[in-house]
Amino acid sequence: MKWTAGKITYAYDEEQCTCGAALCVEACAQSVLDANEETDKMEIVNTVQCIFCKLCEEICPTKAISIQGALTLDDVVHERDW
Amino acid sequence: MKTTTTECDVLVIGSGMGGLRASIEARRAGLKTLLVEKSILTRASASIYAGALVARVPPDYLVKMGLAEPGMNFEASIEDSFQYFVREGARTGGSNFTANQRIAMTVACEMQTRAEELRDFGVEDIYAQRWLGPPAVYGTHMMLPLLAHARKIGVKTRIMTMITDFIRQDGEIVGAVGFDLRKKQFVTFRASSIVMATGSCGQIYERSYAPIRMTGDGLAMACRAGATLTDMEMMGFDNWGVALDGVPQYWIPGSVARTRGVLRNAQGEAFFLKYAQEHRVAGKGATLSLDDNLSRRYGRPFIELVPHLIKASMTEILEGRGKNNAVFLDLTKVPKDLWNVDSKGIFTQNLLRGFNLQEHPLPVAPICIGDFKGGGVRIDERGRTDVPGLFAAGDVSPGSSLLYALVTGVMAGRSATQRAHATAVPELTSESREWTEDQAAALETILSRTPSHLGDPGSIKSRIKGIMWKSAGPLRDRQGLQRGLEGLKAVEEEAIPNLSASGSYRKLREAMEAINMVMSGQSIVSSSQYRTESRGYNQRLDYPDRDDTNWLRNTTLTRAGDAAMTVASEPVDLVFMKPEGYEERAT
Ligand SMILES: Cc1cc2nc3c(=O)[nH]c(=O)nc-3n(C[C@H](O)[C@H](O)[C@H](O)COP(=O)(O)OP(=O)(O)OC[C@H]3O[C@@H](n4cnc5c(N)ncnc54)[C@H](O)[C@@H]3O)c2cc1C
Ligand code: SF4
Ligand code: SF4
Repeated sequence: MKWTAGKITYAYDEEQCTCGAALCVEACAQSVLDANEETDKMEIVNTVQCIFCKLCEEICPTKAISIQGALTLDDVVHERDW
Repeated sequence: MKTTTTECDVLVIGSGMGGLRASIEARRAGLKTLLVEKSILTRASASIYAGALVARVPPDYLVKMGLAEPGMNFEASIEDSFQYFVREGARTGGSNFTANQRIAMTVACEMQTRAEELRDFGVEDIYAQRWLGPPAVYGTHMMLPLLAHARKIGVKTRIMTMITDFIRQDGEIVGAVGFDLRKKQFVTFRASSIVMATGSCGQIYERSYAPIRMTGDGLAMACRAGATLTDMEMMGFDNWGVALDGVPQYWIPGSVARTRGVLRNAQGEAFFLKYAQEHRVAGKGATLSLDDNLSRRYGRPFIELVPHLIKASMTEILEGRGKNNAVFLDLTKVPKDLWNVDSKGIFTQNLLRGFNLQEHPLPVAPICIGDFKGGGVRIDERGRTDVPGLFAAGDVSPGSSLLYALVTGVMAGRSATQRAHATAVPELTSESREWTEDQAAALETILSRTPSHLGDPGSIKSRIKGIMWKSAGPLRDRQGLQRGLEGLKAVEEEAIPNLSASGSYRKLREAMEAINMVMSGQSIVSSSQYRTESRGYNQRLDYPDRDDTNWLRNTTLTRAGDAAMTVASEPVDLVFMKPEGYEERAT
């Protein structure tokens, strides 16, 4: 399953979703994700609230989530000396 | 029904900055320390979202961003930091002079040492300013090394375990009860000392960007256990909450957006110019030029303007000059080169999903910050609550910031350690054992009750949030607050008795959070009703002025047994500093 917002793509591969603990659901502070009570797999329930914090991607042990295209610090000129 | 009992010297609840730091303190002293978390470690905390430990903000940076004026010193001597904490409030509790000055002084004195010490725990760049700049896992650069260190030195952890209440025996806290979501069992803990670091109750408002687990559990549990809550009316709001369909209801952290923008109503009027003149907000040297940043424009430090901006925006919305409950943030005239130095702007751009701030004014409306607040469980400068055996650190106590959580984590951890050294882990009396069984039975009832719409935890939470935003949001008055209390009472009497978790332990967590939200909500509304003045985040339309003659006081909330909460107030102990021109009044 995939969804996009502007230039950002959020991809979730259900087949790789095997941690059995819905860790990403716990990591999501924005109620974008919910756990399926039976399978303990994650379900994407509210894409509108996603802030692209990437905590779900960071915690997933099986790399079932991939968020691409979000701007990062390296994309802009900014002053590092402060 | 299965219940397991675990024993430790120091029980720490919550794995944010406050909890981690407190558990390291207790473990360093050789104590058996157990850290319990209702979600997974660190990721559900507010601490993981905090980009910077503001113990040393370079003044040049603040001046450049219009957040401070030249000459204001944020490199911060102890004296300057202390004064800042007391005047501004929120970070270390209270608001505009209602902070506990002994705590503010402790934070000011210890901040540098405690920050530097994080290096010993493996945090490499303690002053990194990772404010919402992706890779967007912000506070991870601090929280993950800290967690690794806690584990390395032998802090035991237990995840997916929600604490629901404290066990009180002979007037002291001797343990806690709760349930394990994974093992699907009820749990009892016995400990010599308990540190709660359960975070804030920012989820209480419809418009809020607090992480979802911030439901005020610690506030409610402490109150039920006989501890005092203080200054609960001081919940923080921010003026720059996005109010655009199809994008998250979140805040705009970008400092360019915050300091350079012009607020306009639906008619395109720059309404704050008029407000500033009418309310004499503009200070000396105000240029009143829309090309300048906010602090130059109005001749006052940015931080002092925020409550006025919120009030003005809310007034436009309430008096019908906004559109769809929002006003507009106009950034179309901001010079391009300014955007390029704004790392927080990246986050905003991702958040807005392609909405172009440089071409269109953005609908915005005030929002609850969730973490920035001045109220909580009352503690002293050693992290002790009013109830022996119970200690508190971080956002659950009056104050909020990563720095405050860090320093109070040390304070509470140390006091908990001292008590644990002196007190053996108490045995539970038969009365206490009976009480814990009753608690487990109550959880079992919610778990097995037939589901109904009225008793659905999610619907109850939404109901509470709506009531709170309408009655005790950024602008308040007597009638609204009264309606708020009545609304919460209705939830308590009609909905809570029907709470149903449909056999799911995840839903049981939601259900218990809903119960705690009702109580946190009641405490905010009652204290706000009680404080008949406008100060900091308690803005009352019916009492628009700050009243230092009568209200240099802290509100307090207590509950004896199952009785209703009692609101009262006490004079602030102005031990180190008084407001200018303040004459002491006999109380
Ligand atoms: C988006 C955002 C940005 C911020 N930016 C900054 C910043 O740049 N600088 C700054 O200084 N501050 C910032 N803050 C504020 C700062 O994050 C908080 O003040 C601080 O992290 C509070 O730490 P804490 O340990 O008290 O609570 P938290 O970090 O919130 O941790 C509380 C923990 O307790 C757990 N818990 C709660 N109830 C229970 C229960 N019943 N049983 C078991 N566990 C429970 C929660 O799940 C959570 O993990 C920000 C906050 C937010 C939300
Ligand atoms: S963390 Fe990964 S494996 Fe686990 S539920 Fe989420 S997506 Fe699936
Ligand atoms: S990126 Fe953040 S907000 Fe979006 S789904 Fe993942 S954890 Fe939730």
